[in-house]
Amino acid sequence: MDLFWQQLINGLSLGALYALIAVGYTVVYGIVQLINFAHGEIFMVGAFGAFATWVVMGSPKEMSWQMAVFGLLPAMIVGGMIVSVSMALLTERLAYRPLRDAPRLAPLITAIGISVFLQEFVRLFFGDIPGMPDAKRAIPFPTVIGITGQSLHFGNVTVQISAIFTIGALAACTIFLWFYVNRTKTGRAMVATSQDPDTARLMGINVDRVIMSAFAVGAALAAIAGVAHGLRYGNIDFRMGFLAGLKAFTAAVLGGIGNINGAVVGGLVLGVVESMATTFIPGQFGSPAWKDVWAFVLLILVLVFRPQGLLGAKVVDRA
Amino acid sequence: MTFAGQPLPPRPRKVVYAGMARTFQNIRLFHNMTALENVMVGRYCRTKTNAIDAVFRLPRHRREEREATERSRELLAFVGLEKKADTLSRNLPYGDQRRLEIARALATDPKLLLLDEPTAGMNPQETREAEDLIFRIRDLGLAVLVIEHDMRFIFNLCDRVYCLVRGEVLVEGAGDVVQNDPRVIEAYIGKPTDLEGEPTDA
Amino acid sequence: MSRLTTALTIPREKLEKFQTAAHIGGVVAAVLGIVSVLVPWSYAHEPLDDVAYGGAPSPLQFNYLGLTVIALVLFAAPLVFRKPSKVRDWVAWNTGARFAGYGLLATGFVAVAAIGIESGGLINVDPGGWIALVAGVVGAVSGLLLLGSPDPSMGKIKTHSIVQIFAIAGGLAAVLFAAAFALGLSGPGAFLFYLTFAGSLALVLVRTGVFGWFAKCAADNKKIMVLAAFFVAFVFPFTQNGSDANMSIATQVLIFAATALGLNIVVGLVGLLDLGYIAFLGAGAFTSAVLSGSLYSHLNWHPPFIVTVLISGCVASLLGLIIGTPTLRVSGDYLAIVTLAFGEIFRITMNNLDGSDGPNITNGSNGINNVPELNLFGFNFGKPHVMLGIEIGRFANYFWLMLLVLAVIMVVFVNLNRSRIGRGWVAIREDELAAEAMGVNTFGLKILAFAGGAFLAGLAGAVKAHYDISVTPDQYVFLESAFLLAAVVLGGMGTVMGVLVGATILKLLPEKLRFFSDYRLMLFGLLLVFMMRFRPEGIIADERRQLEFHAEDEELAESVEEELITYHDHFNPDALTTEDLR
Repeated sequence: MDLFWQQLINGLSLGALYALIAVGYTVVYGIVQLINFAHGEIFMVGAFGAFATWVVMGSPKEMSWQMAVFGLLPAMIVGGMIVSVSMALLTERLAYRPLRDAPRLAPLITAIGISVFLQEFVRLFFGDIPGMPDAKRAIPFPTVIGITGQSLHFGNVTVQISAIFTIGALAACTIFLWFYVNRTKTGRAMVATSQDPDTARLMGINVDRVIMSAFAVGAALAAIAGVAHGLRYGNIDFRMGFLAGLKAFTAAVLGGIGNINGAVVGGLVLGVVESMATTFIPGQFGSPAWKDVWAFVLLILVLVFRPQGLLGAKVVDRA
Repeated sequence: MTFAGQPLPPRPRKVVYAGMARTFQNIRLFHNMTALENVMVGRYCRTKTNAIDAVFRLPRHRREEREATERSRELLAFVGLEKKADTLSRNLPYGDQRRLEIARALATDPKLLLLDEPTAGMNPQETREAEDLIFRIRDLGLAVLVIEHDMRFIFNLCDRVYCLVRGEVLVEGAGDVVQNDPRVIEAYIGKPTDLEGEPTDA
Repeated sequence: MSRLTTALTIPREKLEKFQTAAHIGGVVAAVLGIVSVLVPWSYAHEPLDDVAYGGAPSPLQFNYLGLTVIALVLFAAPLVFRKPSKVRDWVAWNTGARFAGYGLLATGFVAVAAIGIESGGLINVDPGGWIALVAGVVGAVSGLLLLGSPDPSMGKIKTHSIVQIFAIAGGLAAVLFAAAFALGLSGPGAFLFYLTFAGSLALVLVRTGVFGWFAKCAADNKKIMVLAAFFVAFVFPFTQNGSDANMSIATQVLIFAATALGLNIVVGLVGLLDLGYIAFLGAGAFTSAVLSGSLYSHLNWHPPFIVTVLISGCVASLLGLIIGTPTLRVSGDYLAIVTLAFGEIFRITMNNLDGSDGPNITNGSNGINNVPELNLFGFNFGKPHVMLGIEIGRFANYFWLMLLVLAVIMVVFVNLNRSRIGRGWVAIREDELAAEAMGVNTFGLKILAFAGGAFLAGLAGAVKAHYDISVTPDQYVFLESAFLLAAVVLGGMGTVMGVLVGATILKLLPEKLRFFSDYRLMLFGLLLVFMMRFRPEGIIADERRQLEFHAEDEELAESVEEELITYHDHFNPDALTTEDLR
């Protein structure tokens, strides 16, 4: 039974990470019906931004845990957000916006291009920024005293502090998003635009700005996820966005793409399924080497049996 | 729903196969195909060439392509577009696009043709031509169902008129019967409601 | 591109008075260019395969000379023939001259840059190089000042079919010569220079309308054209004198092109984005390797290759069915990401089937090595053979085999496209809902394309396994799928020629320009973005595709309609009945 609780905790923290990224897919899809493949790379860039912030601050190592948790960590998150949000806005402005009326294939291919470009760009040129290490292989993520490597024990169940951070960040972000969407003018404009962009425009909503804020919100959450990823695994690399992005997309579809709550639920469910699969599937196929496969099998099963996702409403294409 | 004694299948494609074809209220041609190709897409459901036939250019492919072309040309001529077979449908004037849609629907060999507001946006001259075309389609021996707001068009054209209000049939009958029915006058002139006429020939 | 040129255009009335000056300027530029090849371009011998001699132009310079002569003719002709006439207006002199001017600038610039970089400084550029650059600047400025000419009408000339056939033969011979020449160049600078030259020349031919005439010849004699093209490809190994390096590149280009062409059915014809296509190639390769009788395969059944190829194709298409059936019912967008996920699943699974995490089929990340050489009807593909006194090596053998596979895929591509099925695909691309409402089996047609595309990839993979000798999971990763997609997008969605061009460029560039290979993926990513932004229909555009990407462009719609009729290049089976029943 301990094993079950342990895997549940592991799954939830992994799922929280997926959920933070999945929100970015879902918000953008809800408004412009675009699968932004490059979002995984926005997450990766956010993590590198947080790392760069730490370097710019003079690579601090020794400090009190209060200083680390309430000073260093927020600074890194903000730094990561600045980088990821500007990157997301840049791609939106330069690559996606000109294609808004193009056939669906065009923005999809563009997204693939951006994704490949960003990965390779970071790999080749991150090390050329003064003070930054070479990014051709994994870079150790800075230690945040009080979080990195620390854990709590409940009986035989171990809970990493980084897991608590991830889940806490997800909870905070969910509450923030709820307020943002339901209580702010921009948020309501987002809802209106997602339902009918043309009418929204006629009602005086600046649709361009709404789309940009959707990209920005997604990127900001992705940056938090980037930091959480760094704390959890202890290192970051240019490839990390690919798989994480795929998983997050799976989570978004699982919850019902376009639905923010769905992304959160989908992320958590996916994380739990993945960690349970490695424990409770017997034999060779239960080995950790297969866990990514099970996640994608889940994606395909969802598409077969409930394409609208767990929380999605059925969409009817009208003639 | 039943059609010609058979229950209608749920998928649009199978409805076409069962013999019911439609046009769209807002024209939905394949804009970057020529007029002829558009009509030939309509022949799709009545041909059987499969990938193997097509790849190896087997006799069935050749025969069906030839037949489909001939039939499509006939239909283009029937609606008066024989000279525009090689024109891209997006380059056709509005009235021709409407007629092309009808030709495309006819290409599926329907028993019943559903026309969704066939005269929307047409001037009186074009409306009269459409009327004439629909009579000629009826003379081919297939049933035509027209949904239309233009009363003069409906009453000139239809053998039987159904007046629908809020999705329910209010009155049914010959044109002049419906026209003089007090309920229709009340519903139609009293408040802004949907009035739809549906004619079928026998 | 068109948007870029529009931005560069200066208002017509302002240009009127510069016309004579521009023509004279162009003539001066062309003469300068001709003079430049008589003077050394470079002090050192290494750059551009040696352009250091005066009075004796190198082979590369002779090519350049050709461009200058064409520029001279194009710029000078309107000065000589001042009156418009039907014959004069066959060719778009001014537009052609403009692009010849740009071409001179591009080649001049690349020459000077290459000499500067490869010999360690611009100090090594001799006067000839500078003259070529000046010729380029003058030519480009003169070209910019020229008013565009009316559309060329060469495509409409009625030509005797014998002349047409000679034109085809000549054109293809030129292509063969150019390919052999390009592969024979040694330095990256020389290769880049030649590529710039060839690109400029092609652009000039297109813009003058000469290419239009050639296209008409080809369209009127389709069968001869296709046979001749294959003949040219077939004799290509004989031009290489047994050079394994070049034949290996050529074979890789063919494998790549064949795979990309299969992908183009899915992406170009149906408009479905398949990002796991490389996994189908991998599935074919692994199947073929397992059945090949390699010592590293754990299966003791070695059917003949013909059977293996078919099994490989079937395995790949079965996988296609498994992931296509659920996703194609939903929406095209999901297909993209599910195929992406499938690519990952495939790689991970091949890695895991190593005996410890799963049954041992693939030896995990080590893959299956020592796949034996193919042996078909007693012909061993691994051994060199002597034909017509020329040694034909291993790579040439596989080159011919791949040529056959490519031909099969081309036939499938073209014949499906021009049939009831192809019409259905276009209808799906344009308006899926209307297509379904007209009785088109949209789901069935999408599945057919998707699984059929997978089958073709499986075929190519089966040959690739033998060619590569070893099959490992990391040869078949997502980035390779993106690379394939880049070839399709660059070349032209929905066209055969486009993909051949795209695949050749993308595969050849990193091979010939080694310094560039580390940046290749980054640049290809960027290429995808730029193509979608500025020329989504690709270098060689399918007319219909072009229209779909430029929905508002009415002029384009008119001209495409005309082209469709001139080249009888549509689904209109009138062309088919006259041609096929002949």
